[in-house]
Amino acid sequence: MLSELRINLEFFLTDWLKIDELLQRPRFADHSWESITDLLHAAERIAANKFEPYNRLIDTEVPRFDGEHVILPKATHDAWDSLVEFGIFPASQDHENGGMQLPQIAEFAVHTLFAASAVAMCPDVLTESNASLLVAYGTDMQKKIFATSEFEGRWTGTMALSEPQAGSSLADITTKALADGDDFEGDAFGPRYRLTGNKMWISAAEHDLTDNIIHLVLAKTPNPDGIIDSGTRGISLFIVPKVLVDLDGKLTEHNDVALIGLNHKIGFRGIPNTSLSFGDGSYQPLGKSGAVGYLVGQAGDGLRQMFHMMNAARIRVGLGAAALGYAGYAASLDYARTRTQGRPMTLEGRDPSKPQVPIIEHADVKRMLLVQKAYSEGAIALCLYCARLLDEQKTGGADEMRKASILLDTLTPIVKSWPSEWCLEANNLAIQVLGGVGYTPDFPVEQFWRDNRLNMIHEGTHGIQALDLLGRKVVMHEGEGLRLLEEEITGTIERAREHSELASSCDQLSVAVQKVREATAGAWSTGNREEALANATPYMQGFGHVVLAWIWLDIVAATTPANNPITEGKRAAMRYFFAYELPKIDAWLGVARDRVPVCTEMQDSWF
Amino acid sequence: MNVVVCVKQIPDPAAPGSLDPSTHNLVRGGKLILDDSDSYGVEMGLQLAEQAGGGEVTLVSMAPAGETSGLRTALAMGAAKAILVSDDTLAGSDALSTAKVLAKAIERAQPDLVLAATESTDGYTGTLPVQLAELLGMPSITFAKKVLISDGTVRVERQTEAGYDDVECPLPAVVTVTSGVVEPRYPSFKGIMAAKSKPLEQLAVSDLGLTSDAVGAAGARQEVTGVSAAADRQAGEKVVDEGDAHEHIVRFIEQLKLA
Repeated sequence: MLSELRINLEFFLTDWLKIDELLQRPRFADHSWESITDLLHAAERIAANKFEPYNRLIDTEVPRFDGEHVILPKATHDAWDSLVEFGIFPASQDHENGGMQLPQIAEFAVHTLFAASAVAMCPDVLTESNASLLVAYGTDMQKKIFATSEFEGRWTGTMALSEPQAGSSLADITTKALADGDDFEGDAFGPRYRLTGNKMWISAAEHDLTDNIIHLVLAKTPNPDGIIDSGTRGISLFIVPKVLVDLDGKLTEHNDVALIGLNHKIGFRGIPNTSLSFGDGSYQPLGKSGAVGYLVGQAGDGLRQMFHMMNAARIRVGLGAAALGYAGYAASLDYARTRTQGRPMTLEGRDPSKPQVPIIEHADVKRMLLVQKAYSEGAIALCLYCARLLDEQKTGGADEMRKASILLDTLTPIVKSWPSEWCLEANNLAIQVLGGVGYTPDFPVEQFWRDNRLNMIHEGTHGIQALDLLGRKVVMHEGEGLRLLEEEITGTIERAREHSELASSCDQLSVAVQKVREATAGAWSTGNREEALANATPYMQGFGHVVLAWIWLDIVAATTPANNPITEGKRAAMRYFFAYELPKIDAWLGVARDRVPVCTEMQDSWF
Repeated sequence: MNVVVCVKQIPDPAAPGSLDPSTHNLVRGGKLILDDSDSYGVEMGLQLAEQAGGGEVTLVSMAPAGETSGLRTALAMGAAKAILVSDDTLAGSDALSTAKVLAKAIERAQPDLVLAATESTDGYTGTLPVQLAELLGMPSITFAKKVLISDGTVRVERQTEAGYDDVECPLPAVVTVTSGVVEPRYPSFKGIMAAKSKPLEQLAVSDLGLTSDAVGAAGARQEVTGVSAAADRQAGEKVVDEGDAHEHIVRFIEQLKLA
């Protein structure tokens, strides 16, 4: 599976996204396509030896609490060590921050291999995102001690936002932070506060993988009048280490952060999920209770800063979902090629003396495999496209950088939600291809489904993504994000028209884009927010399908027709998407455009 | 302690391969990768050089079209430098003519020890290392599962069907390393970047003092007379462990031996 995935990734990077052009830019002068393929090969070997064989083990030998520590299997430690030695965490960071300025599209390709092998092996995404936030907003000291230790894999990171009573609604968090003494601003690690409160659904917040864990915690701080804002304005961001450290980064004493319990999950079981208590007096750091936290950036700026990490994490959630979709596709493809059952639908097939055929020869099995291919490879391509935008943000001209930022902002809810929804459906079909055995733990596809089921929930639920898309992204900057996306799609259509066989797909996509525009305008035509957003999720589904149709057309238009299985496969996936999937948008976009009130009018007592 | 490791670069097993219909030889166009069985030799060489407290690992390879992808992988693992022999006249080489070329290249490195895999993954002749030893005038030990160096002697635990034999010979020597005896390190990102600037000497046949009629198809004494397609892969057999799984496993391995 991994070799085929790596070859697909190489195809996307070279034939479609033209990485050789990107590598001409000064930021990437150290890199070449040769060194990037070497990196992919090395990642494939590590994934094949340290991740994939243990995916089932981390699902069954779940993290356990021995009263003092949360113990992870040896396989997790080995995998973490191999990632650390590989040195991938800081790879795309600037040289001055200890990085190697690897293009993001290459880094994403590497991570796809690990995610397809064992998505819940270790907290690499969290740690890297946490450290990246500190690079963006932290002080030199915060970067030197906390971010560097995370990039070196000596410590791991978390993001602590949710609370038992406040998940999607972060304005309602109650964890608070108070200045720690008169000299609180004099601490070398930043203004020092004491935090109290409970956090929920915090991944990798307790484990024995590393000897320190860096929590990035959202908490409310009082304004100069001592009043805590009930909205989001009072939310600040704090570094709260599990163990406090001295100026050299040496561990000193346990912070007042305590594990309340482990949450038991149906998937993603390799990474412990916790509820945490901050400042309950379990420990007395610096002589008194209260979790010591160091302010990041300015007080009251916490949510904006956290969304830096959150947006990066959302793209990586999409990538993980896409990789899981691919893993299920590969497993069911392998099964369908060797499992014999039934005979052809032809006259000859009625003869029971004839041997049975591999199930891949049945049209409906082919359909289920093609759906998975179109969903998972399309989703991987979308994630790589977004990674390409991240590279453009860093290396393009001023105009390109701005456009890339707005496009990425607009596409973030799509890149998070589309793979989460449709690659879960791909995993559903992978189970279906295997039939009865797919419903047992003897084959990996049921685990892929369980692991993928998380992705519509964490880092902003599906519904939250939809509200973000229709309520904010397509209307911000007077709709510039949507206009830029339309420009990109129009550019693809113009290029695709050079290939006569793509003419009808170009027409179909033009009409689809028009329908997105009409749905957006229709939803907002009364200016009533409740009406506009009532059908935000169907809107996002329609929008997402149009984006994926565009991605598929762009891939096919950019790659020279060649009589080889890779390009033929991509063309078949595109044809499938335009014939079977794109027509679905009418129902989704129609209810959004017409502000259909069926759901909002529903009364509690009618359920 | 200077170690030469013979490294073969082979077509990526993940990519669909093809045979030249006229010669039945494997088509070696495009990107080649490090033969996985050679990664054990590279790791063994690196460990021996580290244990000796000095010296380095030099890679020696023969490949078409100046192909270096597999060599870069081994350099990224930690080898110090590489010698590549690449020449159009080498097309169609058999094991012996390849050994002649590699022997000449290895002489330039003046090693204390030459390591090779027991056999390559794409050719499986398993004859090259001992031919190489003969040409170099060195003793050879095959199927090493453990290698120790001391006082100018190499001591080897040599794998046998029944266990292993303790054998030794004076250095310099040629030793073949079986797969799986050490865990090859993975190239790190920094190692991959550093490999780009490591010395890689590329030689033609004439640089080695050989003539073109002694190498390649002209010098080959082996010929592939026919090939046939491998049987399609069949569905696996699932064994339910009801306390007797070990017996199933033993039977399965016995069947493999018979095959």
